[in-house]
Amino acid sequence: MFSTSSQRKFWTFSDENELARLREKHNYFFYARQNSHIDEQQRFTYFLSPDEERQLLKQYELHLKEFCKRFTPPMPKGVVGTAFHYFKRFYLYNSTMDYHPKEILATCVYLACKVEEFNVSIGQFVANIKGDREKASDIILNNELLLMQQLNYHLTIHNPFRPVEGFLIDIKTRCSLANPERLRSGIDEFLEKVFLTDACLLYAPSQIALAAVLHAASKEQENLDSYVTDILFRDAGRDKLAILIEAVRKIRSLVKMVEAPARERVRLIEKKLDKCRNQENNPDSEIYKRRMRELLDEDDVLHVGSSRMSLDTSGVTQVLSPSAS
Amino acid sequence: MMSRPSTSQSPPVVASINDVSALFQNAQKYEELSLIGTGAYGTVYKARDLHNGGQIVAMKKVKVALTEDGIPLSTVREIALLRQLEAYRHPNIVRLLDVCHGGQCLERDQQLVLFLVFEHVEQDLDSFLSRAPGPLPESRIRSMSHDIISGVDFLHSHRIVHRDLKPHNLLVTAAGRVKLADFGLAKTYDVEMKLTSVVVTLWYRPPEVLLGARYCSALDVWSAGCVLAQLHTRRPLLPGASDSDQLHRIFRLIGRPPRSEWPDNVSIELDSFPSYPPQDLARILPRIHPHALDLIKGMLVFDPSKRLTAMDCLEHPYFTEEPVA
Repeated sequence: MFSTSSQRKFWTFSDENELARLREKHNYFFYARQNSHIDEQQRFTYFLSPDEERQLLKQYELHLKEFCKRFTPPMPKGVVGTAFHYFKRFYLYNSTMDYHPKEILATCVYLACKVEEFNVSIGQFVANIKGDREKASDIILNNELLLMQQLNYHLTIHNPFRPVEGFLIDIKTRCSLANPERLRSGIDEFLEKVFLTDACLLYAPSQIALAAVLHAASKEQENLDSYVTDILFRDAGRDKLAILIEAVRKIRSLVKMVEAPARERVRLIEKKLDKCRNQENNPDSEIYKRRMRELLDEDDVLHVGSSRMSLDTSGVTQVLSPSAS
Repeated sequence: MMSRPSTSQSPPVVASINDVSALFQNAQKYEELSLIGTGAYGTVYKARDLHNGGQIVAMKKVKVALTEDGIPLSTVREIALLRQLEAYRHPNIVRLLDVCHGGQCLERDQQLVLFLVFEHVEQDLDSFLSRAPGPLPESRIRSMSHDIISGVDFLHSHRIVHRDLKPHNLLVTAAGRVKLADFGLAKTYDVEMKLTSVVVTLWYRPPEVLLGARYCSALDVWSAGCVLAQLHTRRPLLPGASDSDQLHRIFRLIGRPPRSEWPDNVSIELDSFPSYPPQDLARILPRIHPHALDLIKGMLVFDPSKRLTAMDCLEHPYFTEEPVA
């Protein structure tokens, strides 16, 4: 149940300002930790600004959506929704300069597969990734625990898909709307977009689901207002109804404002990121390779089996950039 | 010495933007005080939470073998479930306060070390009963019985079978409430584990487990029934010395079951037991409240499908006819 879940308790925030504050804080923390000689006033000439991080993450959310869409075997919606939640949660408490989104993206999807019991082996999984697959699987497996930890081990996600089914059943039984199944395509389209917004960090899955249903109905030139006010919320009281109406309105306006970030701008942000990112977490960097070699040397020669640390990172960049063309 | 568990960052972090130190929380968070016990799955320490006013906690160290797909799916799902259950704060389930992982040793030996941090409860039911100066008052027995079954019902409603209920892992708080511990990933051993190094008590095992037949949540109801009887006498009801002795004791008490109830595909023949007639449980539990007697009889039924469920138990007149303290 969502009402008693970790999602509501720890990962549903009061408003967009709270999200912005968290993101700004961790953007600043990254800069502060670098002990860089760059003056605070000048810091965005070298480091990413909070807004640049937002644009970059928006781009990677599009990558995430495309990656899941093209995944073989076909991925259930729940896995996609859960992966989006993980990705968004991770970057509330981490900067993209610390952990590159292309690496976290794949790890989020991989962990979501496990939690949602979509059984794919790491081999099957990285077959969906372009580039050096061995390296990709090393990166994913190395980041898995980090991701779980950053999510504070709150891995159960309440997605809007089940409430949608509930609403459709309820509409079929208690509402006179003809052929409610025709709402489906509108609902799916809405929910796909909703994950490109912060709605899932701000609203209950049932509110998001209802926004999707109402949106789909209005696309079909139908009006479900009286279903909401006279049937669904008949006994709930006016104040509760007012809260719901406001939530639905906000969610729909968030979805309306979704737009892809400007290509050229993202390209420049990525170039900037290559320079300012934390090299200790960059699998292609010398410092990372050296640290891993030290880790392995420290360890024994007896170490057999599939080494998670095989560092044959022969120069291929962009391994994890999913097939977003 | 326990390796320093790097703590999961617990969102939302209350820190100002200048409080960079919040970022370096990865320092030691728990101080080990003493060893509580060792089980097949791991070790339990008493420790001090250095960040929360020095409160005493119980840390369970769980070792998980990594697979080539990384952290096993079952482990990921169990962590998700334990974290999710915790959000309910059920009064009869031990609090899971935190999850940490034990440093970076995972790459070396393909093993993940997790620390599950639980509230520390001084006393378990086993020591509580042995210290009781005389028979427990009826009201106390009733409320403890209710606590135990409420905890079992909560687990079952989340599709968790405890599988090892016994006085040792039922904790008794200072206020006299009973809390279930040691389930899921936190279990110290499992019914399937035929480990000679660990002395597993058989006294609370239902016949289907002893026979190696299929089992389900009814398993816990049997175990709880044995514990409830023990609350009345302060002695174990069925203290068997071996698997076979345990079965003989069970059948001497409840009678040898009819052939029609004997499970298929078990290697032990019904005829290897004498046709014990059922005993009158009232003779073993003298002065017991008639409702309590009836409840326990309903829990100690051979055929798991005819046994009361935890929910049935909660609706039994023993709890409904008089208020439970």
